[in-house]
Amino acid sequence: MISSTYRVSGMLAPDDARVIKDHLAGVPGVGAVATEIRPDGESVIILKHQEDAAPDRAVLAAALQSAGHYTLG
Amino acid sequence: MVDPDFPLWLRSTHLINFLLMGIVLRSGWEILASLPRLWWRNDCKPGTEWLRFTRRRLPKEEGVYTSLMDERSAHPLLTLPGRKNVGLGRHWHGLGVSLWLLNGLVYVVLLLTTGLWRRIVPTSWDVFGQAWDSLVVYLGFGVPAIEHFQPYDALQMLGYTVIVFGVAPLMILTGIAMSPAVRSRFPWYVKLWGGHQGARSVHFLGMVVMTLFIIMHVGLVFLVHPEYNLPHMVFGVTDTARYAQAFTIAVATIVVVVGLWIALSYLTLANRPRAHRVLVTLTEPVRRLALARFKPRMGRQRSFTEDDLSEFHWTNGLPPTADESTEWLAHRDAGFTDWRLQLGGELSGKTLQLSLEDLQRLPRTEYIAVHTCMQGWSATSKWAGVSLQDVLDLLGPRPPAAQYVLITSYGLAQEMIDHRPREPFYSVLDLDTVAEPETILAYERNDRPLEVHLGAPLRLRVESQHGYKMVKWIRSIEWIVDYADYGDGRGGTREDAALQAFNGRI
Repeated sequence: MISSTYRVSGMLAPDDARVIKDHLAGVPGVGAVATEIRPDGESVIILKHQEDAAPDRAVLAAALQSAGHYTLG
Repeated sequence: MVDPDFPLWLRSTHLINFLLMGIVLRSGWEILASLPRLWWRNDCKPGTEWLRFTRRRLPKEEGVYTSLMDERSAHPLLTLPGRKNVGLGRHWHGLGVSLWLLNGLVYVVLLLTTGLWRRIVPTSWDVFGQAWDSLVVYLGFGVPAIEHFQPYDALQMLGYTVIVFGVAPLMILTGIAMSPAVRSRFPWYVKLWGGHQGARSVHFLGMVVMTLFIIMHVGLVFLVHPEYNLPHMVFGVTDTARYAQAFTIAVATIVVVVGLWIALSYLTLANRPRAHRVLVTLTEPVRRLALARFKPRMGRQRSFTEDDLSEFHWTNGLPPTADESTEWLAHRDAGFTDWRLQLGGELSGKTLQLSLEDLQRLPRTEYIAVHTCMQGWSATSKWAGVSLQDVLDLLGPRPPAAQYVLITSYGLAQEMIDHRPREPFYSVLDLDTVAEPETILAYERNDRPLEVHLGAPLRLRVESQHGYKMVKWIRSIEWIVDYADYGDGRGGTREDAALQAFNGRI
């Protein structure tokens, strides 16, 4: 397993993180989702997946959009 | 004058029961939402569930998907508290069930001692024929004549008897069977229900029956001779002149109770750490009273054998990746030959570095046990390792101030409660749990070295508790004074951001 980290715009509060996790859980290849809202204001999602099965960035972006006004940074 | 068939204690216990059933059912649905699948098997192999409430398809491969990914977020209007809070849901379930049991005990004792049991328990086989006649009337959208209600008709009597003396005890018995403390002490009892998943599935079916009964029971009060039912329920009198007054009070009461159920959800979500503190304070005495004395004896049990070993083992938490620990990755790539357990620390005044070979030279403990997650999944495995107590003894006598043992992982927590950057996953055990012979550091599963996704090279097993206490990919172990000094002060960073109880016995 490896982790891929993505910046996310619009994830500001725990409720945002929960909704985003809900929508990313169904993305093929994603084995685990962690969310961090960092002290510097940057928000990231960390996805665990198999080395040869990196999630498609477009699919991730679509999943975030379906969750709300969130975009990949 | 109060009708002797509807005394105050009967009406009071019914009202309390209505309130508590809402808490128990809604928190139960929260727990179900955390793993919306049901199995009859001795494991939870994807694709073999007999019922599911999710459209998500699970990978067939082990160790590539955490069970938290299967969790569904339920609305706070429906569940208690809602929004993926299985830990708090379990606390509410525990509190609700404890009070429901107490209320039920009062009801049954008074029912038996006052002789009112004759109103609901049939004493003649004729009841079946009469109940059939009533059912035919209801199915034809009719209402049996008032003369059939003495004070209940045959169908009601059968229904009440089945619920009070059948379904309710069934729910209690299957609920108890899902406790790891009970399972590790009386494994035969869990086997009796078809294992953890059998008990969970029967518990679910009982819940469905109970829910349907409540809907029907409350509905019929308002549909079948309400002019008698409502004065009976509210005032305890047979006086149809007071029907309107009773109707108003009954409807208002239902609205207030439903409002309270929903308010509990939002009150809990408004400040989850506060809710956790309050609920743990209220439920911990019951856990201690009911379960603390159950010491595991997996090493001596014969109920679960190698024939019961599971084909599939879910996991919560995937192996550490580069952002979590490059050190663990290097050990993994080298076959863990240079891996060392850091044992000890400040309180011990020394730190020992133990290799796997060092641990394997200590007395070996081996047994077959069922692992259960707070979410509901389970798997049966043969574990082998070394007693945690034996390992701690290498440090010498317990430091006088030491009250707990802190076990830390190379991996990070899946989520922090405030979504701050994740911190290392850890768990804390109290002295009683450390002393249990089936609290071990496992290095083998099913006669093979521990798999990477299940915690290699070393993981904690605490058979009397749920899986959230069992640290995988262990980095260090040390004595500590108080777990309040670490992390968020709850004795562990867990899969639901540490809102589980410190005591994981149920």
